[in-house]
Amino acid sequence: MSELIVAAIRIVFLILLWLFILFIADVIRRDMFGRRVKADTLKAHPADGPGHGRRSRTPTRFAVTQGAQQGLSVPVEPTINLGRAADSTFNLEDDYASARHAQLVQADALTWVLTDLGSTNGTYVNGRRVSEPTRVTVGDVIRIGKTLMRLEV
Amino acid sequence: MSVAKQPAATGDVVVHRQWRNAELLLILFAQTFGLGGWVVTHLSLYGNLPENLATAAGIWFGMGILAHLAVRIRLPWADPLILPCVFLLNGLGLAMIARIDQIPDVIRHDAEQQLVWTGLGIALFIGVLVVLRDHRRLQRYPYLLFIVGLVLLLLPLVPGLGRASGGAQIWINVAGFSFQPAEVAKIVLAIAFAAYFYEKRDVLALAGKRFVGLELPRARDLGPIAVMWLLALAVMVFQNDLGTALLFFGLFTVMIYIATERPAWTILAGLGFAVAGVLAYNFTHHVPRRVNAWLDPFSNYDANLQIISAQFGFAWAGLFGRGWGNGRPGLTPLPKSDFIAASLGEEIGIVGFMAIIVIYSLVIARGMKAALTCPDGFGKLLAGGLAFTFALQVFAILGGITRLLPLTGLTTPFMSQGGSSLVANWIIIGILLVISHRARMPQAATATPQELVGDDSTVVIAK
Repeated sequence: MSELIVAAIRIVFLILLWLFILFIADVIRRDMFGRRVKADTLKAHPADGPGHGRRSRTPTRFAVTQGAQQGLSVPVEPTINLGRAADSTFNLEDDYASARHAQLVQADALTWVLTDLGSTNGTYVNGRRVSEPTRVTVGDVIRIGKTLMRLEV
Repeated sequence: MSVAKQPAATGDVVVHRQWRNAELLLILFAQTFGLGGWVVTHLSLYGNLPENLATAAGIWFGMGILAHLAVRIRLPWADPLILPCVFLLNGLGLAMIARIDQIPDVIRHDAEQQLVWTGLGIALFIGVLVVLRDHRRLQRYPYLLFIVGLVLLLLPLVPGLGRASGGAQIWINVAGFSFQPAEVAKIVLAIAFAAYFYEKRDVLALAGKRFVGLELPRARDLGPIAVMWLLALAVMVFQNDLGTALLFFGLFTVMIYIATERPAWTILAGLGFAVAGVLAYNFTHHVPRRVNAWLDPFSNYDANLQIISAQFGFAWAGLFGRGWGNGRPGLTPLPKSDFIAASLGEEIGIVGFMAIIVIYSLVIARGMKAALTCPDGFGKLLAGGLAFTFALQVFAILGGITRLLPLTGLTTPFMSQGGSSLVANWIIIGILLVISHRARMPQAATATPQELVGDDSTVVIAK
């Protein structure tokens, strides 16, 4: 091959290499902040879809929907203890949770009663702070610190 | 360890785009560099296209598409940029090995074997994606994983199985292939450390006596991990594998720093490293030689031929390199493994060499970004530790061949000839992608049933 072509290939290879880096940088730039959407436009869970809700409203598990432990769940029990203590039914990993934060006690097949056990930062159901035992069922969102939890079918 | 701010319970949520199509295009673009290097080599050496061009291109692009499909199906929210960068590095490594294969009178076929290893690496990468849905499952067995890691490290010392080469007893022979179990042990031990530090991060940072600005943890909290770490380090030093020992030291330091947020640990580690360096300089044979080759290579031309030859290569290459197939990388000993980056530097020049460094940095930056955005502390520690170790390895080897640092016997990730490092790095990329998938996934859409991790079964030490 003539020397000119060799030199041209050499330079084109390097230009393309840096072009690749530029493309990557462009994706990083556009990816940096993500985009904002309304929280309720995200489909929360397949269990919320049509069909499921009609057949059965009996909770089978207690799940974290948001926070460091998001995605974890435990099967429901008559008494569910929430807190950072190691003997809790659900061991919360949240800096704002107390050692023994709150307790859920089954009232009937569909509902549990949530009691705050004198926690430092409080317990919220559907955005309202709990000051007395409160009935929760499928669809109610419990918040402790930065962790959102709920009963799921 | 500070945990990232969670989106508010109601109102706006920040959602990342998936970027899967961009990933596919970037992978295909990245793969053309490896293929292009190979084709240009043949054009400039023989004036024709390689005979098996179509087959090789099919296999190579097939691998990329397969890896992409696995990510698209299993981890739709994973970071889109890590995989293209890795394919570019892997492709350049393959092309350079194939180019150096052409140098001897009898043409070698190392590149084909390296391609087989690449295929195995990608298969294991896909395996990680399939088996490991949630990285938090790795958190459960720190002590078991540590024992596995230690056994892997000790395998080369087993008579009949182990093999010494280049002064280090770190290979095992299995079915005709030689393998460095330390590469896999590194991953296993990183997971074990992350799990342990995550479990103990509060007591490590807060409980204990104060001593020159540092809360020294109680012996029962730091003891087990210190024993694990010293055992592993002792094995590596005994095997004369100082490069891996260095990586391991860095991994431990960065993890304890991330877990406790105490900068004093890094200062302490720096002092420890200085002491270890002085000891190694005075009591080993090859460390003084490496330091001499670094500071004063021309004092012994024959002994330091490798590093000198690499410098001549860089100098001769100049800014834009000699071009594929027109350099003389074969003059440097070990041009395919330890000095592959120098061989590349000779043929694509400083401009190309800088591009390679930038691409390594991009992989590292995306790994760190996954650590920063990951909602759970274990994922943060693991991703941060893996990305930092990767960074340290790239810095040590590229610094070594450019004579910025003394040369350490480390591989250049994804490029060096040799299967164990390549396969291990593909597994690391798999784990990073799983973590980045969890980190970038919109929070409200992920409450799938999962077993509870962090249950009491892993608590071995009573409080």
